Amino acid sequence: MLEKHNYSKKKFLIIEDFPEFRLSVKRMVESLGAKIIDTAMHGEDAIEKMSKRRYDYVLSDYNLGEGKDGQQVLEEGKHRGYVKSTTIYIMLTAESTLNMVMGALEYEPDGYLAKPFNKEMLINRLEKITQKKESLMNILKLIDGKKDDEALVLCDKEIDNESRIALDCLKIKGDILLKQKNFAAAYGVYDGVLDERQTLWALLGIGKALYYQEEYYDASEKFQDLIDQNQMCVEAYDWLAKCKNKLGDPLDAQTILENAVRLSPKAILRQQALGLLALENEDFAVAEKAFRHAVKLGKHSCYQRPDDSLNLVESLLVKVVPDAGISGKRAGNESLQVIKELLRKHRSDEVLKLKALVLEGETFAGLKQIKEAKTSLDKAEKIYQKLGDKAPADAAIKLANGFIKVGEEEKGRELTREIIKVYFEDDQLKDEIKNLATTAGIRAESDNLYASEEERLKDLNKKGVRFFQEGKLQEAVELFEKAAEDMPHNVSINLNAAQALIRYMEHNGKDSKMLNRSRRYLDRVKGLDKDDKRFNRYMELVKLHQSVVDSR
Amino acid sequence: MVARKLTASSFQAILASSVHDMKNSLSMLLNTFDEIASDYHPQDGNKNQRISNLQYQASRVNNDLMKLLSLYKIENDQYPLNIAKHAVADFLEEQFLRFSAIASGKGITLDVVCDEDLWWYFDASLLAGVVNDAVGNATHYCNKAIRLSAKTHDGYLLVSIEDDGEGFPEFMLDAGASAKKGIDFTSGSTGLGLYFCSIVAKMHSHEGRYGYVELDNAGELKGGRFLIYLP
Repeated sequence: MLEKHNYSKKKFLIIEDFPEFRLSVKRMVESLGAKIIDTAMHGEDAIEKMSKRRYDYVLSDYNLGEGKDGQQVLEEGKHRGYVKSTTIYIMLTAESTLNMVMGALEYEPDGYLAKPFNKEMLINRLEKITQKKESLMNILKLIDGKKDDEALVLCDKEIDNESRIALDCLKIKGDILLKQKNFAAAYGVYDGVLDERQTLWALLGIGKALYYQEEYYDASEKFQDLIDQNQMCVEAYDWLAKCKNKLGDPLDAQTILENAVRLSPKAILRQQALGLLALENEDFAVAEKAFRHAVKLGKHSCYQRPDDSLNLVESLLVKVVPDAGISGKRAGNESLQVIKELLRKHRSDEVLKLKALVLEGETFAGLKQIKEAKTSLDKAEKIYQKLGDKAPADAAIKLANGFIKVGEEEKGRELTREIIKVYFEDDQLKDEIKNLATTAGIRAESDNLYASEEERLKDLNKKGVRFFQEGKLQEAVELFEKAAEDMPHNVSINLNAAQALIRYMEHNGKDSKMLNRSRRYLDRVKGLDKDDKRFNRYMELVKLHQSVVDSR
Repeated sequence: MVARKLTASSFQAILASSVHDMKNSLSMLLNTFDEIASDYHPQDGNKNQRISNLQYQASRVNNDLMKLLSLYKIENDQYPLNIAKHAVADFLEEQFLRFSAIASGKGITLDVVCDEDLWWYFDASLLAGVVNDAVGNATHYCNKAIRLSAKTHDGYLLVSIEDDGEGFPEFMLDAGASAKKGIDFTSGSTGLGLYFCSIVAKMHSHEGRYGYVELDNAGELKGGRFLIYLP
């Protein structure tokens, strides 16, 4: 067997849970002349080893027992930058039918080798893949170095020469163009490939290009084509669901995601997407299952989010009503468990703790454990006060609702009034807050409060505008900055304060303290929704702020 | 359009994990045989023969397992078909490497004939199964030589496995003809093999044409010939 490559300095990692097989593969690799060969028994071990050493070759079994599988190791490895485009990752599979990856095509291994294989086959495969990587090496290095445009140039050279790696280069080109948001060009690339053959990755690519060009109907047809040709291409389901969502068919989207999840239950991102969609569709049973999976998978995944636990509890809470019987009790207990675990793991995330404690209070209330509910809500309130303007609106509303539910009506009402003063401008929250006020029994009062706060704001703005018109920039700044301290959540006030400062500086020259303050006001508004009517003003002010920064 | 709900099966989960275990055991069997074989002198004909037989039989079990599993998935619309562009010569080389140890142990010469520049679209995993099956058969029927070749023919990729034995018996040729017509036929391992190969061929389609399988005794080596055409 003539090996054309020198493996003596290359670093290998073998990931395999079956000990005899692990040794067997190690011996095969040793016969190649490799000297640096590490082994790992399972996913977590592998990730750890990869964090300490950059391997040239990773040979991983797909099945690794409990915990991460080979595909998940690859995904996490790529996500964390341990596995580069230049790394050679080969999946050893017992099921030779695992070709079309169950996860995301985005993170595909360089090759699959079906067991059983002998030494000669492994060596042959390594040689072939190494050779291919070498031909692609320049391109891959440019990609790793974030020099996509140069990579494209090299790709085009290979494509024009119709070299051996032309098809690989077309795929890479398509990927880069999508990344660069050059969707029309990407479409062209994939279309060209599809002209020759209905290749899977090209179908997926052309679908994505159409999706990003907002041609949701055409995109959905491509993805449906893919699924018809290959029921197992899970990524196609994900995209089809996204299309259905955009086409205003969230129920269909959910069914599609449910199918996808059945095919590939271990992908946490998909479970999260399904859960969120199900919650929107108020299908709490499906949401519950999806988030439960997500929480469980989260234990082994870099994509885990504490929100999954919160969402799981939200889904369970529909069942936790006083007359629900055993299923209610079970759901309640599971919620409490999940929250306990969440609080244990995230001791220093105050916003998370607030949300978790509020849900805990709700759960206890549903289980008729009023005393415990009050304790949780009080704890939550302390955090709410500490957080001040950083407390999220929905948590505050839930907290208020919680107090009312456990009979602490006055606390609930106080909180409701506070919430109105802070969020009266927020159209999206209006209905929720009005409902809260009704529950609190202060609907009439809240309507008055809304009106008076709106008046106050109008007056304030009128005063400020007059100051501007009269050239009294200093007074305008003082007026709005004081208001911004009083009402730190108020979007318009923050924008006004920032604008006043910027105008002042445009006239009187820049000042670092003022720049910092105006930056702070703008940052408070950062999370504004793109569709919010004030969004454009925010963007304008950010630009103006930058020009002051850049001025002499 | 309302999406259709797929149904899950817990048998599939059991199947997957059982196959994983069986494959691991078989892999270990085969790897151990390889290591034992390399400890023996090539001159020691008898011992070599026996080890080759062990390897051959273990290989057969493995291949039958793979075919059954694939067919199960295909029947249940669960097979992840992956028709991709491959260098045919590279593909055949890998199959050659799979069999070379067994073949030489049995005193059989294995020969590969294919143009370096021939590329074609096919599902490598499935076609490997077909070649496995055909070569396995050829090992049984041949005298001392098996040839693995590929070329284009009338817009199809034609992969042939020929041997220099007595040729296929009548019942095999009949079964082959039935397979080509798509009729149900014989049972047993032969049946499984042919059925699998014809299904694989049919799964390959392009511009309205479908793949098919043929058996005859018209090969250059004067023995049996297995042919698979892929559009």
